[in-house]
Amino acid sequence: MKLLIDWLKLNPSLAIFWKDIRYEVRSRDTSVAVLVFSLLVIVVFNFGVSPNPKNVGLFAPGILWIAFIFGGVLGFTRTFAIEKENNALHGLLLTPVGRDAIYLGKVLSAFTFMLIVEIITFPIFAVIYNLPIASPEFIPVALLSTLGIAAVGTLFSAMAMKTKAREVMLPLLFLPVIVPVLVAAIEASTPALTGGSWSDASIWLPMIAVFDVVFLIVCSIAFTYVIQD
Amino acid sequence: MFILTPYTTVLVLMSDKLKTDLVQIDQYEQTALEVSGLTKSFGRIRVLDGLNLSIDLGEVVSILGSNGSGKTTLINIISMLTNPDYGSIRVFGRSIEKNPNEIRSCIGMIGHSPMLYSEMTGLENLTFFGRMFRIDDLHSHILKTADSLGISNILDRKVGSMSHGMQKRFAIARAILHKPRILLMDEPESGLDQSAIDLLRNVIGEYKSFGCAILLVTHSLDEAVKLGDRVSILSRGKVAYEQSTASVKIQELRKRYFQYSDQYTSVEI
Repeated sequence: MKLLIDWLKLNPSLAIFWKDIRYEVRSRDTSVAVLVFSLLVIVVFNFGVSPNPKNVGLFAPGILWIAFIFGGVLGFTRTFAIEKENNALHGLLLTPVGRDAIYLGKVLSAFTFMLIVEIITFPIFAVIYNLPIASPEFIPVALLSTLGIAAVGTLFSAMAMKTKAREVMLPLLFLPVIVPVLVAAIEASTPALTGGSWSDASIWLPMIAVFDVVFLIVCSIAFTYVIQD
Repeated sequence: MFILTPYTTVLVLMSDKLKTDLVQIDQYEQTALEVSGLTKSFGRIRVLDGLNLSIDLGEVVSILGSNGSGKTTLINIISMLTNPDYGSIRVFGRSIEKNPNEIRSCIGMIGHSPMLYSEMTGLENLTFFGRMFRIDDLHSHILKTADSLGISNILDRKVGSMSHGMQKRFAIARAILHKPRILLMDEPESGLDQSAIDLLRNVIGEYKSFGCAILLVTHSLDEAVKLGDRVSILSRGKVAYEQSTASVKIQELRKRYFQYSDQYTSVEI
């Protein structure tokens, strides 16, 4: 037990994670913006596609994940922005911590922020599109897909930070790479949201898990080179 | 997720990893820092051109040079923030490429910017960085360091709301919190008032008396001579002039400084 407490205290990834959470709780500048933007996307699509009981199953999962992804892009622009202020990133890079540990800490915080936004957004989405609020089958889909999105988004956030037009560069880099996860997440969400067979979703879940593993490994290696001047 | 990356694999074996990471370099060599053939270009501009430099333990080397002469680049490369194009750096005889984290744990750096999180308090910043260095008995260590820099009464203030001078004091606290054996200082006196400059001199004197090696980049010739054991002038990406401060005269140093500053400081390739 003591060993676990020591580890939790000393683990650098968790220290970065807690630092980001504390920072966001204090400033709230990212989470509020991401939440409002995600809700706006859902509402705007509602007017755009005019969902009815016949077509809602066709559109709703896609609209939900597009809202999450667009909100995520907005959040990822801030992931490394806080490290750029006062050049705090250099302070972080001067510490004897592996770059993959820094990456993991950042993925953890991005994943948590996205998940919080999804937890708040989903019930509102369900009400607007007349879908069941309680969808336990959606939970593993959301967890796995969000992890993959956070893994890729964190890497490209670090890349975009080094460019002048980071708000433009991030979606340009991020969206094409995330397409496989997005497609799998939409397909897996459809039966979960529309009361379809669970076996339909379970085909896509292992695929999302594989994407997560590949993205986490590749992105953590790439991050080591991206973060260095 | 916890078995995916090289680092996270090690997390499973956390107790062993923590111990090995905390291992300090016990057998210190006399030469703390050895830089040889260091070359770095940004685009077509060669900022460092085969620079050689060495610092012994207990020695303060002052680096002078006009703007763009490569002083900050040199410090950034030694502290592993920037990769060199060519050349090698050895810290206590060990290559920085092969032992990056071990070497980071014995280097402290004060740069132009404070490298602190503005939305966090001074205490939260120092606690965060202290955890990253895995410092034992961190809280009392922070209080002691803050006391020595005259910032113990503003530890609970947000860094963003502090004056530049106070932020700099916290930056110094961050850099020395883990008691580094090598201290890299890039114009540390800029933005500091006289009392803070005196505190900084005390820190440098204290670290020198502990046998630490200090690389001090400054624009003040007087400070360079007063604080340094050796003074070097960078020009055209190389050490153009080097002299012991015991034997150098300030007029001679001034003459040399302006002589080398008049030359183009970096080379176009």
